[in-house]
Order: sequence, then C-alpha cells, then structure tokens
Amino acid sequence: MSQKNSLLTFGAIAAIIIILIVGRYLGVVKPINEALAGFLSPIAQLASRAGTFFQRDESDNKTLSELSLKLENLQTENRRLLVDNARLSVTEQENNDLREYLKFSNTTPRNFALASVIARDKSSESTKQQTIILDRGSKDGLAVGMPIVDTEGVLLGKITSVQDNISEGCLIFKDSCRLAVGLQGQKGTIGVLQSDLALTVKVDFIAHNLSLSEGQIIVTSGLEAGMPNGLVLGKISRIIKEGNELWQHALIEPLGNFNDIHMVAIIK
Amino acid sequence: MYLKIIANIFLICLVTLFDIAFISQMPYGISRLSLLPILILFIFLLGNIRWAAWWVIVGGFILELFNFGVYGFHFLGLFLSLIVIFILFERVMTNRSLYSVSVVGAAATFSYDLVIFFKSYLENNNNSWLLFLKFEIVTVSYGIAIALILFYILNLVSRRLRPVFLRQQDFKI
Repeated sequence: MSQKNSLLTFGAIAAIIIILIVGRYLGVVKPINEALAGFLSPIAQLASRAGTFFQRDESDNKTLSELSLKLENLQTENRRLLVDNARLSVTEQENNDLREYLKFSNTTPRNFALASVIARDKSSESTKQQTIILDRGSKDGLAVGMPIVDTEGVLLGKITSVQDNISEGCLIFKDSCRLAVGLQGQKGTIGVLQSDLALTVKVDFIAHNLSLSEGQIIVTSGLEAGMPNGLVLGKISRIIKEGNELWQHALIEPLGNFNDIHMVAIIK
Repeated sequence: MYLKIIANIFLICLVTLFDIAFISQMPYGISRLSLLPILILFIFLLGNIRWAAWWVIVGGFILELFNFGVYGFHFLGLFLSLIVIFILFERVMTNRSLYSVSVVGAAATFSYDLVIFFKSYLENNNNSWLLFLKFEIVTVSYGIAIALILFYILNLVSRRLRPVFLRQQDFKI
C-alpha cells in the first residue's frame, strides 16, 4: 500500500474517532451505547465467570506453619464470636419484647439487588483491584453512592457511576473511595476510611482523645447519602498515635472477601 | 462483502469482550494485559492497515462502552498503537521476524498503556509514574510472551512471518 493510502487511512480513523467522541459528548451515540452495553453485558458476564476460575486465593502462598497459626487464631476468634452471638441473641429478644410493649414499628428491611461483576479495572497501580463494572444499572434501581457488599454482608465499596444497564463501583482500596466510619456498637462518625497506598485501608482524622483498641470493628456511620449505617468494613489492626499530631490513625484489616468477587449485592 | 464486514465486527466484539471480562479476572500480572494492541499488530502483519483500522475503531468502541471515565482514551490508545506499529514496521524494522515482532509488540503495548495511564492520571490526579513503570515491565513482558506464542502459531498458517533463524532455502535464488 502506498504512503498516500496509509496516510488517508490514518486520516479516516482520526475523523471517525473525532465524530464518535463529539457524538458521545453531544449525547447522539448514548442510546446506541446503552443498548449495546445491555446486549453485550450477558456475554461479558459469561467470559468474566470463566475468568474467575483462574483466580488464586492469597492463602496459596502461605506456609503450613502460617496456616496452622491462622487456623488457631480463627478458632479463638470463633469461640469469642459464639459467646458474643449468644449474648446478642438475648439482647435482640429483649429488644423485640420492649418494641412490642411500646408498639414500635419494625425497622424497614433493606432491599438488595444482586449483580455480577463483568469487568475490572486494568489500569490500577496496585496488586489490589480498585474498580469493578457490574451488570446492573439505573433500570434496576441502582444509584450513585449505594453500598456494594459481599455474600456475608461485608462492605466492599460503593457505586460511583451508573448507566441504564451497567454501573461502576469503587472498592475500598481505591484512593478516591472514601467513607465516613464509626465503631460498631457506638453512635457517630469517628473518621474517614481511605486507601493506604492502594494496598490496605486506614481510618484518618480520628480525634486524638478517642480511645481505640486493636480488634475493634469498624462500620459505616451512614453520614453519606445512600449509605446506611452499621455495615461492617473491617477491624482495627494497628493504631498510629503520635504525641504531637492533631489526629490519630487506625490501620484496618478489611473483612470483605476481595479475592473472589464475581457476585455482589447492592443495598438500595 | 457485507457478510465479511459483519463477521469481522462480530469477531472484534468477541475478542474485545474476552479482553475486558476474561483477562481482567486473571491473576495479577496477566490481568493488566491488553490483548488488542498485540492483535492489531498481527492483523497489520497478516492483513493490511485498513483491516487493522477496523480493529482500532470497533475494538475502541466496545472498550469505551464499558468505560465510565473520560470518553475517547481507548480510541486514542489503540490509534497510537497502530501508528507505532506502522512506523516501526515501515521505517525501522527491516523484516518481520520473531525479534521485530517482540520489539514492536512491546512498543504497541507500552504506547496503549501510556495513554490509559494518562487517563487514569487525569481522573485520579495522584497516580505515580514510578509505580506505573514498575507494573508496566510486568505487563509488557506478558505482552511479548503472548506475541511470541501468536507468532509461532500464525507462522504455521501464514508465510508472511519469518521464523527465528533464516533457513538455507530462504537464500536460494
């Protein structure tokens, strides 16, 4: 092919790209985009499910002694949680009885929408995934700010952008995915949860005089629109408190299952 | 003619969806790889620039469907990849051997990823160039590996590519 023909081809590509970009910003190609995304998302969902078979669990890299230590810790924690659960069941029963006496209406049950992950962010500069694309959109009642939880109900992130048939959610490892959080069993916001170098998460802006301890559960405080309070995020693994700083910080061990996210629930 | 175009568009859609949905679910390293720049390289080698242009436009359009950020960067990334592939094969490389495919494959992957990083940089405002370069070494390595595998596979069905070592019969006049 001659040089002139090649230049003509490059010119044609550039012209088509410019027309598509301008059309997108003018809203002309939006209906085509929405319809195509809705049509192609089931195929993407199939490919995505096939891809999850190749995901590796992080525990694959652990030695036998590390795994047995982890098992021991989990057994201890499980015993503690069983005791807590028994105590909370009694409290719940008491609460129900008291509500009955006071003729209190039950709290509204939360509505869920199940969604499949059809793609993930490829450009993240971290081994942790930061953005996911879901096969549900505004037609299914999804809106920006709604929480994304895993099968156990642990918070993974929130919806950041919505189209008719698909939506984008950020995971808590993303820098811009920030949440107002509090301590489980206590009212109010204690600080802002944000990513720490896109590898783990921390709570910043905690008042210096607030008493914290390792192992305490961090939950959402419900300060943002669309975000209910009381959704479990993780537990405090380390507290950073410098004498001359205005704020203290807490490193968080997320409790969500981030290794195997292929189906999530969105709380409406 | 029209059937061929429709079949091509359908194939590009499937490959792009495979790239978006399947590859992104792979373990870390492979999950960052973008197949399209590598495939555009082989389409250019086995076909022509017009066929590669189809892949840039349709592939870019499908990538943009599942993109929630600034619109147009996937188009620009693939377009830049095609320009790099064209310049390197037409002006720099003297043959279409395994080595030249590796070099051009690495350059095409890097140029596409650079545009996507720039998009991410504009959106997040705090992305690190050093981290990008560190992760890019892994991505480009996987890109070269995929290019080499495809080179050997396509070498069986096409005579447009040259094997690693030139054979004696290649010089017979």
